[in-house]
Amino acid sequence: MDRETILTELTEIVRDTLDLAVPEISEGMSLERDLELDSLRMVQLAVAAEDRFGVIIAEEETWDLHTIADAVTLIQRALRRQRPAAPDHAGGQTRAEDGVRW
Amino acid sequence: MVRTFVDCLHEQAARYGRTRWYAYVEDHRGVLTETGRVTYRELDGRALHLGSALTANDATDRAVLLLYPAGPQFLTAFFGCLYARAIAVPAPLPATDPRALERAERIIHDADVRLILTDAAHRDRIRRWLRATGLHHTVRCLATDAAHLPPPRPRTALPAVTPATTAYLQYTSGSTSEPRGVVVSHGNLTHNSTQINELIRAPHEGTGAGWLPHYHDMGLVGQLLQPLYTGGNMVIASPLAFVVRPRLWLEMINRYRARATMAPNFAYEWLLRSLRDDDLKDLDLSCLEWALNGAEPVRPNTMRRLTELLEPRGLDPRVWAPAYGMAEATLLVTGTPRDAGSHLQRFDIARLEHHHAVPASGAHTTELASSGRPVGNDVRIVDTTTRAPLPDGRVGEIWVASASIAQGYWRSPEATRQTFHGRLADGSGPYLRTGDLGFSLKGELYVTGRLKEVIIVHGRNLYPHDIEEAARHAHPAAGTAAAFGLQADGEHIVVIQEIRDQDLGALTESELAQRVKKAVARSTGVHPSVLLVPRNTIPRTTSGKIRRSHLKSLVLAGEAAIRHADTHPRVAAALTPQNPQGHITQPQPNGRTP
Repeated sequence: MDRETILTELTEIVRDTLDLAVPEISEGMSLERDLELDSLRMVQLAVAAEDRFGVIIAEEETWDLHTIADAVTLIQRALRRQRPAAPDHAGGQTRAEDGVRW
Repeated sequence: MVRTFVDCLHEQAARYGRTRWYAYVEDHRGVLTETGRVTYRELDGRALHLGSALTANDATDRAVLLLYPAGPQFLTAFFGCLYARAIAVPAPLPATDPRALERAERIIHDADVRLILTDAAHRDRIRRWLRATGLHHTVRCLATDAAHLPPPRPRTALPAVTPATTAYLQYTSGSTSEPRGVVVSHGNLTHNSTQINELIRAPHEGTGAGWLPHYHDMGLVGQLLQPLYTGGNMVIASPLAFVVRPRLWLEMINRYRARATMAPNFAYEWLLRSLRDDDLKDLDLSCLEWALNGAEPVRPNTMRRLTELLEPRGLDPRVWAPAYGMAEATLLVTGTPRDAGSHLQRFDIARLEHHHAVPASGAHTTELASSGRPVGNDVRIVDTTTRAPLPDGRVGEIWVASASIAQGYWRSPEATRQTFHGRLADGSGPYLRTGDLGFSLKGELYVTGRLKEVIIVHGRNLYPHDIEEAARHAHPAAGTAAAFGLQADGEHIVVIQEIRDQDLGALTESELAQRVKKAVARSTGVHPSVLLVPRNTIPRTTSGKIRRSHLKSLVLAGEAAIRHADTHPRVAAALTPQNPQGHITQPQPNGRTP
């Protein structure tokens, strides 16, 4: 997905999910100064982006975000590493090991 | 009256069996969905089963670290530890962030943890981390939902638990580098639960709703243990679910007809910022009787505005129950009873600055919310210099004595002495020194500030030392740093960062400020406001300690030589009027002034 498409989707998230009335969003904008996002809004943005783009974003990754450009780059990175969702459950279920050790 | 929480679970399971429960809910694409329910009887059976296994595995009288996501597994593990007389240590599940892991590692060392309990979904990741740190030689990690446990022992074969037995360690105090585990005994816990029970007028039925994390004192004692003690039901969501869709909280109250809930002020503020009128149509909140507001400064305006918004939806203005407490007192120190409503009062600002609380009206006054009345304890306001108790209306440090005061900090005799063994000038005590400032008036406690330098953002306690460490490591040009909290429509972190010009290289000041900002955000999860200053600007004591509050007053008075400011708009607004000389130059993104 190219940056422009991601930016368009992000603009919709900012308008619809975050309910912010911003006429236009550009890569140079600061998430904090221009959009006044705090850490709570940042979590909302990240979860909305996960939904919209079908990716997984760790909370820590959002702590590095400063500008809209950072957010676009993060989503690109998340899209690239995207794989069929296989959280750690996979190897988790009742392995003999726990039974033996108890 | 029950003497321990082992008795409590056993007796309540016998009394209420399958009729009382904990329910877990999630948000499934905008729809409140119940994903699990555990009755008192089920919890008792599972805890007994796990407790037997823990006893057989030498966990008795040892610290067991509990790393669980939000959900019913944690409850079983916590009570399993109590049944085995193991010391439960609830902590946040470390994500992939190295600093969160570092914190868990320090807790493991501090509490001498040999066993970690988690769920199957997180076990492998935690084991990989244990191997990477070399801790796997001494620390085992087991998934309680994937274990084949031996058949449970009879209840009588479990180790004896008395009110003096340590129930758990609460690691919400202390910085990352110096974690402090508050030692809470069964006696502390039952005493504090009795006090909370009195506030909510011992209903012996009804449902509560909440989303607080179980590793937080309010989440553990207030949200998880209190319903069992009282004999009620509890509906629980994860903190993340609430932050992402705040309306979920109100939907929980509405759907389950919840009578009680509790949260820090920021959460109520978050509701206000997130809700729109058309969001509220199908909600009926008339069931809610008690909404505790605690764990950070209580703001009258938040409660007033939320009442205005939700009164048409049935919210009773008397639900507000401001409270004050801390892990060192198990949880609650003062609180507001059901049906009483919050107590608001205006005070003369100038007199308050001189530590006199004088009720006043009109201009130059500030409105404070009382944090309620002491519950079954001895609360004193103390002059920190003379250690003499102060009369009504005088601001001093809040000291507390009661059977709820914890046993001390785990294996930290010096810190325990300083905090838990306060003595008044006449020698009476011991008192817990809270490090908070406040005053009493007509039996109500008002909290006005802090002696300790902890910064509270979104209900989390952050320590200046940790923030300064993170800032200093942002870049070689980042010299000494000082961090403090600033109230500007909510609490903000401000970092004053000295610049080492010789190490700046090609980096601009603006870039350095951003590096510092990112480093602190990575470490704390909160974006600070950063002010860059020349070297040797940050004042120190003769022994070299950073004088944070003095620096803060210099910055607020516009007397600090600031070379570059990268601040949150609300922080900028708080600083600017005090600064007519215009030392602070705001960066102007996109050619406009914030």
